[in-house]
Parts: sequence; structure tokens; C-alpha cells
Amino acid sequence: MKSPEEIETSLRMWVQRKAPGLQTEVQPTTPLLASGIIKSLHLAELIMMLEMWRGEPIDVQSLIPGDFQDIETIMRRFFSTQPRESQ
Amino acid sequence: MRMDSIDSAFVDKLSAISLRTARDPHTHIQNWPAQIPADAWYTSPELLSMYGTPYWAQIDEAARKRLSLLEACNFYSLNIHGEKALMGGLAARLYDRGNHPVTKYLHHFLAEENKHSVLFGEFCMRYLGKLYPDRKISLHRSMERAEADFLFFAKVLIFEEIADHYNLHMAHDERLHPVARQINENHHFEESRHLAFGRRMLAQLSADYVARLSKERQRELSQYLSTYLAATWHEYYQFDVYRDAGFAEPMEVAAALWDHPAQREHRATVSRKCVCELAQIGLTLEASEL
Repeated sequence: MKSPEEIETSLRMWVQRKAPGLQTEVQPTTPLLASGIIKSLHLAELIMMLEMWRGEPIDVQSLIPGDFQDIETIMRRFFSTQPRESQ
Repeated sequence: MRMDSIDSAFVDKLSAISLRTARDPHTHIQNWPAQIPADAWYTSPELLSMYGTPYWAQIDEAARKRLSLLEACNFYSLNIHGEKALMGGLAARLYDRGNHPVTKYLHHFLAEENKHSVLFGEFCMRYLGKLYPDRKISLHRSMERAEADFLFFAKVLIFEEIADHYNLHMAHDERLHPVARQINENHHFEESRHLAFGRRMLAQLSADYVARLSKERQRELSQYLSTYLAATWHEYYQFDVYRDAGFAEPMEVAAALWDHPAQREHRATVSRKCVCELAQIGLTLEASEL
């Protein structure tokens, strides 16, 4: 099982791979969908990785675009031990 | 969209063939075996995602055959998920703007897609007890009608051309278990009409919509469809399959297979047909994500 730090690093590398033309390094708060760095079509691949790292399936019906706002949000949404705030 | 401007003789001909050759999925395969043998092929070996990679050499014949069953179920699952989206899109276009000749064929198209899902689902539920999951999310954005129609048919073309390559290959592969061969043959039989219809629709939509766009907008469409092509292919490398095949690090396996040159070449070869078809209407798909 990867540690949260390892997951965040893997996540950043994956995002960077999806945007090879990006001039700057992706930060935890870099907007992902809004900036077009990742597209909705990339989400299935991302969800597959998140499920693997979590070790449990994700109910895609419960997801909203805001869940993928940036790396910090993804980490909080899918890897936080804290209960999720109500939407 | 000018769906009504498509040649009505052409759609009438497709409808007539659909009527004449209609198959009932509930009786098309008369005798589903209660169990299927473990020592049979369900996907052609050269179409398996490990073929041509070091993993292929590492696993024995029994494991290869087990993988061929799991990948068959993944192929059927991704077809069901794709057909669900396709059926929704087709249903939304029935009787659209008085397109009556086209609607007559859309009814057949829709019914045939549903029939394919019956066979795919039956196989998966009988012999694996589940479907592999659909992880696609649609983030709706507003777009003009012509763009929505064009993207719908362009995505259908990409999805179906890839699936049809697999169907056609396996429909004639005598090594396959007869049920697997029959399912692939049946799908190809009806998909060839769907593809002919889709190509005609795309040509029409291209003349009506894409040709009017700026070069920059055409480039954006090409980029979007390139990403769609890669996303479609990712479904052929599901980590769930490698987990069920007994690999301890299935995500790493999926990533390694995706990156392997033999698999890159396979994807490029199979994609060539839809890439060429889109190039003919002025959209150049980039292979960088493949």
C-alpha cells in the first residue's frame, strides 16, 4: 500500500504526463480541469488509479467535477481519514 | 444538423437488411453451456494485452487461456458500457427535426445495440458472474447542436471501428470456443451496417459543420478526439483484469503493458482505420497519447 506522500507524487507525475507541454511544475493547488491540464476523458484512467491506491472501488455516480479540482482536493476527497464535508 | 439530408435510399436499404436479417439474441445462441472449459481460448491470443510483452513469456498456457476469458469479459463489458451511451444518444435523435427516413433506421440501430448487450451480458454473468466496471464520467458542458451531433457520431466511429477490428478477427478464429466466436460474429454482422451508416452521417456532418470551422477550432476538435481515442484504449487495459488473473501489482502491470512498444504498435495498427477516416474529413488525430 502506498503512503499518502507516495500517492501524491504518483498523482503529480501522472498529471504532468497528461500535459507534456506544460511549462511549470504542477503544484497541489494547480487547477486541473478548469485549466484544461486534464480533460474529462482522462477521468476514467484517473479513477482506476485512485481505486487501486485506495484498495476499494469508487462509486462514480457520487462524483462531481469539484472532486478533481486540484491534487490537494483529490487527496482530501479520496485519501483523507476525516469524514467528507457535506456538499 | 441535417440528418434529414442524408440519402434516404441508403437508409432504406440498411433498414431493409436489418429487417430481413433480424436475429433474436435470446435464441441466437441456442445452447449456452452450463460451464465453459478452462482450457479454451475466448480471445485470440494476439489480441490479448500481454501479447508481445515480457509478461506473455512469463505466464504458461493455462494462465494465457484464463487471461483470454477475463479479457473477453472486459471486452464485452466495455461494449455494454459503450452501447448504453450509444443507445442514449440514438434515442435522443429519434424523430429529430422531421428526419423520418433516418429515424426508421435509428430504430433498427437502437434495437440491434440492445440485442448485442444481451449477448455480452449473458456471457459475462454466466461465466464470470459480473461485468467489469465503467469508470467514465461525463462532465456536461453546453455546446451547440451541430457540435454535439458531430462529436457523438465521431466518437461512435472511433469506438466501433476498434471493437469491430476485434470482432472481425475473432469471428473467424477457429481456436476460439464456439460461443465466443458466435458472439463476435454476431456483433460484426450488425456493426458493419452501423459503421456504414456512421461514416455517411459523419461525412454529412463534416460538410455541414466541420468545414465551416476555423483551423484553430478544427485543431481543438482533433485534440479532443485524440484524447477520446486514448481513453477508449485505456479500457482495454483494466487493472481489474490483471488482479483477477492473479497479479499482485495489477496497476503496475496495466501501466507496463500500456507503455510497451508492442502494445503501442498494436493500438496504432488497430486505430489506423478510424484515424484515416477522420483525416478524410480534415481532422488529424495525434498519436502522442496512444
